[in-house]
Amino acid sequence: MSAPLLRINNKQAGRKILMEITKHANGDKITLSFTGRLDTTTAPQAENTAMEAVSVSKDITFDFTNLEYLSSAGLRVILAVHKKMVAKGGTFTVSNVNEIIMKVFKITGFVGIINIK
Amino acid sequence: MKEEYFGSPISELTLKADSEEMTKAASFVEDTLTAADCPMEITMEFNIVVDEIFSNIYKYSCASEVKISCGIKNGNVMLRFSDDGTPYDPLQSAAPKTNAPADERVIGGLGIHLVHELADSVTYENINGRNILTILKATGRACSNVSAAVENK
Repeated sequence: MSAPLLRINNKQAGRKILMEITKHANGDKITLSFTGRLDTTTAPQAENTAMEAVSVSKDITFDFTNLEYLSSAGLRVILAVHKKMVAKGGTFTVSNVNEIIMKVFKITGFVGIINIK
Repeated sequence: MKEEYFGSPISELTLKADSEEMTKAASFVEDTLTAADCPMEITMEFNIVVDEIFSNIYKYSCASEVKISCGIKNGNVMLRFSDDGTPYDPLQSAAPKTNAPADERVIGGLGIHLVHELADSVTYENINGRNILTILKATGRACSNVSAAVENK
């Protein structure tokens, strides 16, 4: 297991990690595994981390197995990555979403534009 | 006189309308609902609601402080944000296009749309110059009424 690319701790009372991203590269294919919450607090740094991967890969997967939920700030990251990957003719997939995340994708119409598996 | 929700006490927390307070707002609501045995998926949905509403307030309202109230009675959750910012009814904003192609998508407006869809009801009032947004949602299962432990924290 590689060290996380990004770890954001909760500043309030050191309660827990808010979000963590680990990277697994297989040739040109990069999987970013998210743990925690993709929200207003964590999304800006997550976007920076994701965009670094976008700049070097044409096949990116976000693995949401351990992501608890995302808010519209997280949708902003997904949309930004999606647009970049489409622009460079690459592939972008979001995998292993839980019920709440799927609900958010359905409500916002993201199911119609993002490749979810 | 302590404010009540359907006769039950409610937890309250007043925070500065500042991004630094975001995690405090989230923890407060999450802890209140968890202490009341609210189902985890409902608590997560309220985490999303808090993220959307609190961030909108500190980004756009010019408010100095926000009072958050959270109460649970007979399996129904009430969450209320009261701020002293510019009068603004978020429910009057245009519904986002959720069927537009990706290159025409914007994120603006999606947050309040999410809140609207996740909750059973969202109401806006302007009382004594304060913006008051009240979100109600049934958990579908009996929860404890809000606990004294959280109330006294």
